[in-house]
Amino acid sequence: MAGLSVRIVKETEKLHTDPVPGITATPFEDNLRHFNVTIEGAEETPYAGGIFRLELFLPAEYPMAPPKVRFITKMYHPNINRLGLICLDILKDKWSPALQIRTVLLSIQALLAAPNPDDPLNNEAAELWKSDEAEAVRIAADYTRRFATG
Amino acid sequence: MSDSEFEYDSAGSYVYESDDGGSGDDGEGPASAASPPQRDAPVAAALPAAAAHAPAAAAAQGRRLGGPAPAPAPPLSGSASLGASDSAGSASRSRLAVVSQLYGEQGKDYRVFGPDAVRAEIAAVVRDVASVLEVAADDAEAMLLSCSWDKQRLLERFTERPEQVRAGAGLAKAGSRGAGAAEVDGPEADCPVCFASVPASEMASLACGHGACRECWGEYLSGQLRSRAAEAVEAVCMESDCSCIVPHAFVRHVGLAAARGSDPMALLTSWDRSLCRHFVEHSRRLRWCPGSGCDKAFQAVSAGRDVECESCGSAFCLGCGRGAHRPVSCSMLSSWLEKCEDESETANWIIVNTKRCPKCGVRIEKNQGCMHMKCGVCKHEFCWVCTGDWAMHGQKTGGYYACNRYTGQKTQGRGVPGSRPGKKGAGASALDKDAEENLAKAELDRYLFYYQRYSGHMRAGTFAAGQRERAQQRMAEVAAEGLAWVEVDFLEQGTEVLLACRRVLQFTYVMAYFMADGREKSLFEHLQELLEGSTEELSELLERPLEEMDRRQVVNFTRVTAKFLSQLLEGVDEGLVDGASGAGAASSAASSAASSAAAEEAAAAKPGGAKSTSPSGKRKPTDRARQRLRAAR
Ligand SMILES: [Zn+2]
Ligand SMILES: [Zn+2]
Ligand SMILES: [Zn+2]
Ligand SMILES: [Zn+2]
Ligand SMILES: [Zn+2]
Ligand SMILES: [Zn+2]
Repeated sequence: MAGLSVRIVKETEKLHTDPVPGITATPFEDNLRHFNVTIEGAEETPYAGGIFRLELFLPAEYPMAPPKVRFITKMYHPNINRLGLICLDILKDKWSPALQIRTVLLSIQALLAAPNPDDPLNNEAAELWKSDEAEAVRIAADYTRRFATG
Repeated sequence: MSDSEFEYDSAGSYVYESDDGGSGDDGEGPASAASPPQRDAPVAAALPAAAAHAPAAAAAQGRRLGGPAPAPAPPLSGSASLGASDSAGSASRSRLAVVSQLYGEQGKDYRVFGPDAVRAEIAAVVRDVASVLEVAADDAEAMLLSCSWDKQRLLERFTERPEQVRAGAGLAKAGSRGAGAAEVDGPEADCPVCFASVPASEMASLACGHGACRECWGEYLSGQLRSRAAEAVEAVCMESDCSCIVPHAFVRHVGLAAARGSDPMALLTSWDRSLCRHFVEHSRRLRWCPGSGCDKAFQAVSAGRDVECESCGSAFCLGCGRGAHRPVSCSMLSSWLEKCEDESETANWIIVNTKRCPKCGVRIEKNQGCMHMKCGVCKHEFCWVCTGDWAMHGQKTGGYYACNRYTGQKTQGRGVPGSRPGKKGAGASALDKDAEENLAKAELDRYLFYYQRYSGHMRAGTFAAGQRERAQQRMAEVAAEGLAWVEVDFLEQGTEVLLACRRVLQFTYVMAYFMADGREKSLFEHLQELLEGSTEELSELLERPLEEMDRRQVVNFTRVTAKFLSQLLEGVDEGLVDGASGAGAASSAASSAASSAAAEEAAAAKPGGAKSTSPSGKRKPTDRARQRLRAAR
């Protein structure tokens, strides 16, 4: 693989010098395309108070191909499955080379605040979200307390 | 020998029929007409023939000169099948009339396009739309892309609401700036994709104005071509949520930068290839030949039908793209395949694929083409289809096979066509669980009956395909020996008819499965039975070692079987029983009269039949050639 592109170097710098509120992204030392990411759960959501860990990887084709992102912290969310894989259009067919690491992470943060049970990746959570949202929110908050704090 | 003997090549008539002296007259006629060129100098040897039979032979030769030195195929044989490289396309294939008829070569109502013709077709329709709508060629192309290349529909929609059509095609409002060099202030600009600072002249943008450097555009478009194939030509702007389409000219504009020193036309070339794919795959009535690596596109003028690709030999349906499936319709085949999928789950499946020897009970798997089975253990001979004693099936019992009819009983025979147990009174006994189960069982039995025969012919067809290959191999061998190629040409003719019959028979069982009982079905089954009987005879004849093969007999059986085949197909095409149309009834009466005539002829052609005489020994291959043939098998 060729050296790090100008773009990746610049994006990494900017994430460090001008971070997005509630989001950190730092490359691992042994692989500068591999990022350690944290996202804070937004207030007034079942994820509030939690700090969620993710990993993000930039494939060789980046930015022509989207980054690969996955939650490491256990989640209860209709668009995130047990493996932490995320159902988000811009990570698939809606990817555009004009998007960046920071826009991707912002979109994921927004997804946490606004689950979309009609396009589920975790069917069980999605069903519950539609049939009994209060109970779904209670379980999600319980997961947050157990896995995303401390 | 006259020139007209070469005519059958294009007209598709039967070579042995054009031999006025009859096939007994082996010394003259087709044998000498077909004297093969010698191995050492294939082209030179072909020249005298070309001189004598200018049009046909010259055409065949012209095709052959294109490739590397081919196997010494004689003018009448399929040069492609002998392995001569013929990338230019249409191989001259010798054809029995019925096989040509099967694929509608006569009165062609379809067109075949090579890659250049596809490009020309695209250029023509783009030019046409551009001039009628008074838009740029790239705009016309984009709009055609967005409506499946349906010119008529595009013109209509554009007349009603042009802006909506333009927007749907990813085009900017009429009169906007075109795609190409981006508008940049100053000598340099930052590319929003690679973040590099590049000279202003390197920045390019689409009509929307979203710019990026040419290298990024090139990389983006190459990526689209790699991952989206035909759909790549629908690529839009790199900007998120911008649906501005990438026009053809823009690809040319960024192509040079993308090449980075390698072939500057590479991007444009593969873009053009994708455009051709898009055109063929999205246009109604156009489809690629399913043959692997074949680049021919077919366009049906009327409804779907079976065709055979002259370039690669694939036989397929223009309607649905599946393998040739006459006489059943595309939708009937779909229902059948769906049914097969459902039933394949049942435990009864195994009984279809293997059978116990009716005498000693050992499980036997059918692996040959012929329905005549011989148990490897007890040597018992039986019929694969009905497991009845084979002795009951031949001429001796005074009749043909009666194995194509479902009688609803374990014992087969000429039962009342289509009588089914359990069908009557189905409603009355619906509450009775046992009766319901029996009904289900009967329906499964009925399905399995047809499936067994369907799959039997399918497997036998695969076997026949192998036989044909071996026949072609033998022909090559014989020709290599400098012997009369016609000695074994009858093998190819025979196996080709056999192959066609197997395929048609296979689908006749699908048709019969869905046919309602009645006069039509019994007529259909009659024709099917005649064809099946004759096909089995032909199959058995062709499985014999070459030394034991009776050429005359094979030739006669080939002709008779071909006749049965065309009768069945014509019967189905014209309607077997058509109360509403007198013409239909007349033609089906005529075809059943013809079929009894053919049946008589078949009886005569049978082994031991009255007219069957042993072939003249003088035309047999030499011993040396025979050894070669044996080795080739
Ligand atoms: Zn744009
Ligand atoms: Zn760039
Ligand atoms: Zn083909
Ligand atoms: Zn079809
Ligand atoms: Zn046996
Ligand atoms: Zn039988």
